Amino acid sequence: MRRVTDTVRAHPPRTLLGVAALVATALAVPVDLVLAPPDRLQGDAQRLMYVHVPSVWTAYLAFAVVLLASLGVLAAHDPRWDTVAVAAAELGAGMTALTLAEGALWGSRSWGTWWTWDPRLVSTALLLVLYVAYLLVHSLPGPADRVQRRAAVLGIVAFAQVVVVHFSVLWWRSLHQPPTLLGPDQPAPIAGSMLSALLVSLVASTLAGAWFVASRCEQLRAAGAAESAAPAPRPATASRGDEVVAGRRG
Amino acid sequence: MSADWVVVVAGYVLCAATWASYALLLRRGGRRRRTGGGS
Repeated sequence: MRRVTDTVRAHPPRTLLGVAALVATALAVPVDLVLAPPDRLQGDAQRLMYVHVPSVWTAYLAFAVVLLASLGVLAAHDPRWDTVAVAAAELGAGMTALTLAEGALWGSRSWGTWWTWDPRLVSTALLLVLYVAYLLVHSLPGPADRVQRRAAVLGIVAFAQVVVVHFSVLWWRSLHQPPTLLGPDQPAPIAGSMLSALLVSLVASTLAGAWFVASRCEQLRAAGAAESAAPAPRPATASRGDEVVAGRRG
Repeated sequence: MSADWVVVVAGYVLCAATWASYALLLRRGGRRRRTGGGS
């Protein structure tokens, strides 16, 4: 029997993405930790920005991919869109959890607390809950097309929370600072050396995210193909009467 | 090491651990679909 992991073959564009992500990361770490200056008020703790902002940026991008792929699921009824949506949701959920953890670390130094019931923090936590719910809905047993459509609806609706998270610091009073790069003030109120370090980290995180989604898509497609090729389970036994494993119907 | 650098290093370690877990997911295969074959 062929192992699912064996089906993630070397693929030149994807390998190139992975190598580019590694090179960008190798460049970003010394730039962020050595070359970029410490913040005048926050000192070295501000260096957390170089992982915190790329994490949430990657999560936003991943959730945008979930939105577009979910629209593709509903419009085209093509399971390949579903695979893209799931891979992107897995990436986005992990990046959101990472954002919250890094934010807690940063908050412990700059705010004196790991957590507070702040609009930005609460809306980000809700964002994580929504996309974990998406993955749970997608893993429910049932006919594949029905499960995929239900998850797609959630994948579309959940994106509204990305908008809420982004504008939460502008709509409500928040401890969290307003957006720097995507805020209303242009040019962005950030020193050039810090901006350069942040951009290198953003590129590294975006490349790594693209590499993961591309690789995971192929893996999920291979797993789906292997499952479709497997013989169907026997639906009933003498001891279980008419009971059928719900997840194998359809 | 100052308290500032402790949280910075912790943040980078968390970041590295997250990406390592994604790489592990690709290596090991992750979850299997439990849905049926479609209609």
